[in-house]
Amino acid sequence: MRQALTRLIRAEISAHPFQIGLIFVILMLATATLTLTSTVQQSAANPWEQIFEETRGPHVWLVAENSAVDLAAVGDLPGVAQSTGVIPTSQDNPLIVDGDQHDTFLYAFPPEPLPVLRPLVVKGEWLTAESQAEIVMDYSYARWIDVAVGDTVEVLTRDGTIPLRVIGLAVTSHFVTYTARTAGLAYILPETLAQIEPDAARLAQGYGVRLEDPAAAADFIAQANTLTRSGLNTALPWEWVRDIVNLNAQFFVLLLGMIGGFALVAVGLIIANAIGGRVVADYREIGLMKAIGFRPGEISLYFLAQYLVIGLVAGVIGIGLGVLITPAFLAPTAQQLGISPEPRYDAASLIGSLLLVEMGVAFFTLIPAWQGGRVSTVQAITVGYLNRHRQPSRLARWALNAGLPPVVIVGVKDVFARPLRAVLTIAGLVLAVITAVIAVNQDVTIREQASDPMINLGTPGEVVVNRNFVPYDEAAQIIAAQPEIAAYFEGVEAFTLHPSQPDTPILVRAVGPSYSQFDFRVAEGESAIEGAEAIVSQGLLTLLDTKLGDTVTIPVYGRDLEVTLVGRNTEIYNLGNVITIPLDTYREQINPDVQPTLFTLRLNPDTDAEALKDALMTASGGQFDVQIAARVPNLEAAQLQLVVIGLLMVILMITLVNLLNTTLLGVLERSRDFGIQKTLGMTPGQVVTAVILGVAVLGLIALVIGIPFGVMLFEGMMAQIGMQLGMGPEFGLVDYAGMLWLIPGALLIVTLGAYFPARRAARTRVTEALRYE
Amino acid sequence: MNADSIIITRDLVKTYANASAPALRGISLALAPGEFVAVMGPSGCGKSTLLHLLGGLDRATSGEIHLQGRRIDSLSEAKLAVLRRRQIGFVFQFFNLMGNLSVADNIELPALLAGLSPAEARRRRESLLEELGLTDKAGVVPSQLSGGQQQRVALARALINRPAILLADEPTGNLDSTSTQEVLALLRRYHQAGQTMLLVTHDARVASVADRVIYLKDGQIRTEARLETAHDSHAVLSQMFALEA
Repeated sequence: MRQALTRLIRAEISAHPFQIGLIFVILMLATATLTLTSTVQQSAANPWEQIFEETRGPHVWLVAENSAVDLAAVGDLPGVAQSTGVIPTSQDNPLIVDGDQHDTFLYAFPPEPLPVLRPLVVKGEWLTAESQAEIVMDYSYARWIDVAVGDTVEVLTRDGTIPLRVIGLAVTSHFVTYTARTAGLAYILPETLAQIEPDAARLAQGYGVRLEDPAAAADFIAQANTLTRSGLNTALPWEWVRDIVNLNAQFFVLLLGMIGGFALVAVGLIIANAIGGRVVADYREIGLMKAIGFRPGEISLYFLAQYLVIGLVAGVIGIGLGVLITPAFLAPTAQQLGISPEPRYDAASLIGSLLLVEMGVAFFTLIPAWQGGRVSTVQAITVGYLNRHRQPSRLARWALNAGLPPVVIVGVKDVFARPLRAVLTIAGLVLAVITAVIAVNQDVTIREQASDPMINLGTPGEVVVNRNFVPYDEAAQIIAAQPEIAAYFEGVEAFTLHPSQPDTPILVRAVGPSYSQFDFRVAEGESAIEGAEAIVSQGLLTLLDTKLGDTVTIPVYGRDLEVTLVGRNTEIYNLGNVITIPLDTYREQINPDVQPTLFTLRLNPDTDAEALKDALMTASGGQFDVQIAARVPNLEAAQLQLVVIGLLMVILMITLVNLLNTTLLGVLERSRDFGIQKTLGMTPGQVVTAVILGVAVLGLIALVIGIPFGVMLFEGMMAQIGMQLGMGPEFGLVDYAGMLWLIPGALLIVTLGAYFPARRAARTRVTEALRYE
Repeated sequence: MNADSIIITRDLVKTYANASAPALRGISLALAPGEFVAVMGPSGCGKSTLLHLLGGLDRATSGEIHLQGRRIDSLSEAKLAVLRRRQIGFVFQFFNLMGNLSVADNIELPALLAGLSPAEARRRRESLLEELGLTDKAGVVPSQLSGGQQQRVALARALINRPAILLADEPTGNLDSTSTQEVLALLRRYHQAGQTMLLVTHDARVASVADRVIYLKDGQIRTEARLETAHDSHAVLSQMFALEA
């Protein structure tokens, strides 16, 4: 029996190489997609972890801006395994590159490696004892501001600028990857720092510790905060840094998971369609097999064995294909960090992908195979498969009543002739449409939201000026004297920690009265604040488990800020852990003598921001830090988009092969029908059009279902991501105009998928097609 | 052969690929307007092949076919399709109705294809169904009809465009004797109304309703018999049996 089955399977494959080939391709792509999604999901957090190990990253990184805080004392707290010791840091001396200032944390590092935190040099070399005029820059920072090894950068000091030669680029794990939202990192020798800022009292301090129990980071921060009497301005636990660095990866993993899930369901539908269709196509052969003595169970086994063997071979090749393309999908995060992507292959999940596809094959083959075993021998060898219609096609009747051309009537009459196949095909197409909807809208969301200066950088103006060392009165005069400035507001910013959440830095933003002329993207509640009122972002609401209308107390520089939350705005700066209060309130409750350091400007229409920047720099003697808050292209997002588009292509390819296969099956089954159509006088062109129209109807139905469903799903998904980003549920943007492209796109896919089978239908030989009943 | 003939063939030869001998070997015939010709012969003699060539469903290896004075054997497939929809009606042994179209839609479709307005197509369909006694079946699908009813629907579909010629391939081959008689009566009726017909059959009783019987054997016309007045099936039968012997 085994030999007989083997021969039959071999004969079947050589008799229908094209259709079996299509099923093979579908199964191969399915396994490749599963391998890709499972590996990428497992490896997405890998790059950061790799660097954390190689750099001996700190489990907690502490910053005290006040030099009087005894930060070294935290090294004696219980649970500390090793520490960096105090690292003097300048936060007030920006780098100047090509005339642009960039906020920078300048760390004083020794030439020899510290026990904790050893930045990993990926280009050039590390500091030596002779590096007084040299600097090592963070890899992601240098990449962003376009600085290479060998370049010279300048450091702005109270007394002018100091040039430093870039000798190396290094990656670190104690701080987030540079994206222009934070200051960049750079490493210099302690003596170089002393030259830049001779007054040690003006320097901040950094301190990194490795803990015996990495899970105890939050407890350690709480103890450190108590020990330093709330003298900490920043405390970063390793998990927080990992999550921020992997934020895009998480977004990516979520998308990938969803698309992978779609692919899996789509593949299930496709397998059901393809294999079920082949069983019907083999109807006459089944009758012959029964006639020569095959039992029903053996016929079921024949089909099952046939597709399991095809699935096995396709699956193994699919895994190979998945392994081959996975590194390209991991590249975005890895490149950002300056390392090569290292996929984490797991034998269990690779075999799992194969088993999943084989289970799908078995599941979807069983029913048609069982039906195949029960075919009436006489009917199969005489009449063949009969699809007896009990009701006329309503769609055809409707088309006729609507006065549509006969080619349309013929085209639509068989759309639902096989209801199950039509439903499976539509379901597969719907999943492809949903994927396309998500791809289109994530694209516009990332382009618009993630690169919006307010949402991304918390800057509602076009230009932000940090006065640096220029006295406030003088700076205010310079600003006020610029005719190109339509409006501006002054402000100060301070990072602080809340005792209930000591491991998450909160940004307190105090804004001068003119802030009300600017759009802070208030999504809920009041946009105007006065007295003890505040606008917060979603991240802070979640962090402090509070809501609008509540009054919160947040310690800032040892004093309590007590404000009522009246509005919620949308920004992802500092993961939405931002509270905006009136400057007067800051003065009343925190520091009566504070003088604004930041000026946020809105310009007159048609003002050249670059020219204004030059004017401001000249007027301030080069001391101002002028940032043009142009829409910053988000590099990570652009790379993520490539990945999503790549995945979309894979799904579209599966959809295309599915359409090709399903249409071909329909064409083979309906050859008699095409014979009749040609006899009645339909030209080959009309037959092609009719077949394509039939498939187009399915595509249209899929669009009608898929677009609203996809939008709903996308908004739900983006709301979840928006909450994770601390911005709120308004993160997702739906691009209705962009989605219009889905219509011609779907038509193109449908035409491509249906064209070749339609050509085959048009070439039907009437004399052969009408020979048998 | 008369220049007014509806259809004329000259030396029609058809050889199928991989076949050892031609299916048709130089068939020349002509059908006068309003004539009803039956083609008979044993299995494999080339009857159906001749009908397929005349209807433009297959191409001759050599020879000529003229329909209403126009040579059609060299036309492109698309032009042949247009010709079929306007000038040729087909009736087959197995009806060949579209299973998921209603009876009404099956009949109207060729009319719409030929460019008739939906209103005209509907009017003609209603008139034909009335003539064929199927008015109450307009909304049902073919599988709900008996064989005889399905063949009547096929006949209506073939006639809706008032074709120059009706080609019928064993139209009663799948029917019981009652239905056969009904269909033959209808063919006779349309013939009397002036419809030119060519019918392929095994059955001498069926052939007996024709004006002329052509007997094919091994791809050639062996004999022709004109059934002048009394459609004497006995005469035809004995003639044909003699040829087969």
